[in-house]
Amino acid sequence: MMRSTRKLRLLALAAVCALALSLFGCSSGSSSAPAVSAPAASSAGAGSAAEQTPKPLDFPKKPITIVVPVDAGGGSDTMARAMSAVAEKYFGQPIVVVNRGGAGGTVGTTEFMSYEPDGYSLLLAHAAIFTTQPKMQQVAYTAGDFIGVVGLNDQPIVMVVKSTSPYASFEDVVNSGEQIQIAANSVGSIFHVAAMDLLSQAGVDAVHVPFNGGNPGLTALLGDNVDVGFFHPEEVLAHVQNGDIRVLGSMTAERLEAFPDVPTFKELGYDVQYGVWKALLAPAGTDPAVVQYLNETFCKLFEDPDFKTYVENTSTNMMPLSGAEVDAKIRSEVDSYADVLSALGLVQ
Amino acid sequence: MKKSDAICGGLLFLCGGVIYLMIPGQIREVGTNSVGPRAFPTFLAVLLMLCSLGLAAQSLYACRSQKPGAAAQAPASEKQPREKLPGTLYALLFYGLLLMYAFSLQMLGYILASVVFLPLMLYMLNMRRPALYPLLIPIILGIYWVFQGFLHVRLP
Amino acid sequence: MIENIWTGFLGLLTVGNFVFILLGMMIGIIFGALPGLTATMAVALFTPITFGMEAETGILMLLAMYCGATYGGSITAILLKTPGTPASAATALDGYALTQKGHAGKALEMALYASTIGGLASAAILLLVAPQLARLATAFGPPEFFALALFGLTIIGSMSGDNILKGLIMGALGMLVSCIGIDKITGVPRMTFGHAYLAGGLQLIPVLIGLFAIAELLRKIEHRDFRVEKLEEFSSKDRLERSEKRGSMRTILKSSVIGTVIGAIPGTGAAIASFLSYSEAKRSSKAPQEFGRGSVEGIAASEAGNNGVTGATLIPLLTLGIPGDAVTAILLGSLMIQGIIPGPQLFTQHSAMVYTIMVGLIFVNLAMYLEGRFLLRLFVKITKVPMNFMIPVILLLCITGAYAVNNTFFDVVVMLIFGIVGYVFTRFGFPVTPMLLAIILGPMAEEGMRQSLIMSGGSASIFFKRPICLLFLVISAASIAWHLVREYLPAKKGPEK
Repeated sequence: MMRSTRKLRLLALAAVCALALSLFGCSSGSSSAPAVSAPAASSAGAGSAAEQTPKPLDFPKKPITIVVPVDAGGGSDTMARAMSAVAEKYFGQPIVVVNRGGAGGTVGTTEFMSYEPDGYSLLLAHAAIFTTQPKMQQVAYTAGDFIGVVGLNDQPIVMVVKSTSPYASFEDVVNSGEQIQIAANSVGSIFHVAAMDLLSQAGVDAVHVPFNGGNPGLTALLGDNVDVGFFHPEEVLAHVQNGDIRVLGSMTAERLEAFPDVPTFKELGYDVQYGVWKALLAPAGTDPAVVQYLNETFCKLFEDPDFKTYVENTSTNMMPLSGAEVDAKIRSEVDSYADVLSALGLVQ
Repeated sequence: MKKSDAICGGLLFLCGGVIYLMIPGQIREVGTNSVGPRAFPTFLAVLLMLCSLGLAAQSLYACRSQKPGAAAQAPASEKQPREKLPGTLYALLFYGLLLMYAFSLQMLGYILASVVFLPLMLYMLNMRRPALYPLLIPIILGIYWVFQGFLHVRLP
Repeated sequence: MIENIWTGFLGLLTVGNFVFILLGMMIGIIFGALPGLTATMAVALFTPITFGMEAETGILMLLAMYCGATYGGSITAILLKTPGTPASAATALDGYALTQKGHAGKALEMALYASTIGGLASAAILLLVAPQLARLATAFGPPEFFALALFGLTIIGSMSGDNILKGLIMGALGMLVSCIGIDKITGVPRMTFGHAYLAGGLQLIPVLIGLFAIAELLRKIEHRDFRVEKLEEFSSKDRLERSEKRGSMRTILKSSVIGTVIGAIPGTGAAIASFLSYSEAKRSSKAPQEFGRGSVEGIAASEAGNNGVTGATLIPLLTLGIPGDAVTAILLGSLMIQGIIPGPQLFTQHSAMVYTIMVGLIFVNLAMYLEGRFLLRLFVKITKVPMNFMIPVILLLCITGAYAVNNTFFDVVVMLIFGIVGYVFTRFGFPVTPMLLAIILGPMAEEGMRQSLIMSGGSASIFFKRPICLLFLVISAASIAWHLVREYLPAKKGPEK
């Protein structure tokens, strides 16, 4: 469309940046050249001395705000609050969580664009904001309006049925030839896209019943209102342990630790790997030294024992990518859902 | 009030009509269902038009059947003729002040805008006890502190 | 079971628990009373503070806030006709009417009384039959939600005042307003005019504040209603008569049950419960014409209904790990951060803590009664403050609250627009409550209907094959028939009464 040349330039620049900075990942703790992803900036890798990144002067001296573009109580929200619970130990300042939900995360993201790039405001973005939403509605932002600070997590997706269901495995579903009704979050969500991708590859006739989030869908499944559901493992873990829900397959590269007996769809012959990832972003133009400091401090925060308890309890799959890796990931995935979305008739 | 009901009915009918016509432009029809995104708003717009027609009809009918006494219906705004301004106008003027205050929040910031406009409001409301005006300042500051300082809620 | 309750009770008995319950209750009541601040906001804002505490203490404090806020909304509803939370919108009608007659104390007392009984009933039911009621939570699928919402919408009839057509018009407008945004079923933007903020839809709180608070303030200004309300001191003259208490008891109990049932269903809330209770009380009352004009029974119904939700809403959370509304969603997050995973295993793995919380909830409601009584004298004094001073202060709070909901100026704009809209409508005799009802219930009705039709492949028979759904549809039809009969029959029969 209109912004194709700009996108191309961004992609090229991002590729160069990613290449140049791929050595300076999150856990290494070594210094890095200033991370440059704003299109107007000069060439990447204008080297600085290779010393431990000093804490930027006077930062932070007031609370840091994380904007969560979904309503209070969702997965993103809980993660933000979990981080804020231990933040003061690492940042010296509290982290304040602010909700601005609506339209799949696009409203909060749009509003975030107007925030100062001073490092005190971060956006807890989830994948759909950049991958599916822009295809389905007009959004005022692009990936270039933000720079990555740190990757957060990458939650896999599993396919489940109620234990009382006649389907004991995915093969049963495929072979039954019946039409099934599925709960896969809302229209255009990664769950929806993933589910339809899988089911169309397998030739299963499926009707998607949209629900506003994972929980209503889970309620529907437990109430026998839908046949099959697609959720994050953490959403169904307790029910699986209790014997109410059976997991048919997981959309991951390898079997999940929590469900060692559940095959991946890859093993079953369907190349579907989907996950919902989340990352912290800052407005473009934020001082790269600040971004690097934030990245390193968050990585330390992720090692905090209390935070780790939360991570284990929710089987969250932490993905502490560096800021540049986040940028690269976003850009590489911007178009990867386009085909499935247009097959579903959702592209604007 | 019957006459105004008829006018309201008519206006609302027009609103309903406008909404009805707006729907195809604003809402893209998608999906194979008969009940798509347009169905509900269309139904509601039609309902609105029917009800407002009904209202207009009802009030015209009532007007006709009580012709002699109906003319005496005074508009509500003249209930208190002893004041200088008719009440509705007064309220609307105040609303204008309120709007100015609200939009100045973005420019002047929370505290400054409040300190400027709240006393103005008090004045407009005929508050003649000068002692109370300064009382606004600690209240404004207090609320600001509670929200921004204590609860870390962003304010303009 | 009894041993569990006893263990829970013992677990409750720490100084920390009591201190924080009382503190949380106080904060909750204040948050609930202030227009623009809600229970959800209170819980969200104070969650970080609970991280340093024991899990039970933190949860009990948040629950105290929740119960307090649900009650607190009635205070401003009664004194200023502006409900502090959506759940108290039904209280505003009768409550304010009583205040104008000089009986604010009576109204406030009944609100407290009914809220406490509602909360206690809900807490007791939670404690005793939570697992059984959990089945109710999963029994509600899209058709049932549609039927429930439809039933709720028929209440517009009884909230319309004198003219049902006007009520219907407001209802239609309210539902149209709720359609603004991205359609949840197809992902298509509706009536957003390409505007990013409209895509998120209009938030309920700014609309509520605008329609009720701002509109009411403008009305007061119009009538130059600045005089100090002539009000009895909260003395023996303004107390609830014993007979009034007894007379309303049936209503209170019925409303508590309604509230509990609604609370147990995830996806509903206190506002719906309060409206349903109010409507049912009006229908079965011996003095229905008093409703809306200062009926103590009306206040009792509405407040018992909304507090009846507080205990029951924990049922789907604790038994299934599924939050029933925004507050429980935040509680869920808190629990997870503390290392406790709600769900089917919660009662076995963390039995002591769960029972402490459930028993604690009973004490939370008792604390509410104590603090409420203590604060009542204070609240009544607020009516002594000259209204023209209160107006700017209230406006300040409204604007702050509207902004604070989602940290955006857009909500303030929404509030102002609905303020003038509400004012103009009430000026011409259109009731505002149906619009609120429609905004709350419209999405539930539409979503339920369309999800159901997707499930059934387009066939409407799905609504008639399911017992609960059918039940609510029949009740709705009966309710509509009842209203039509009441509206038109007396005219035909002539002066028979």
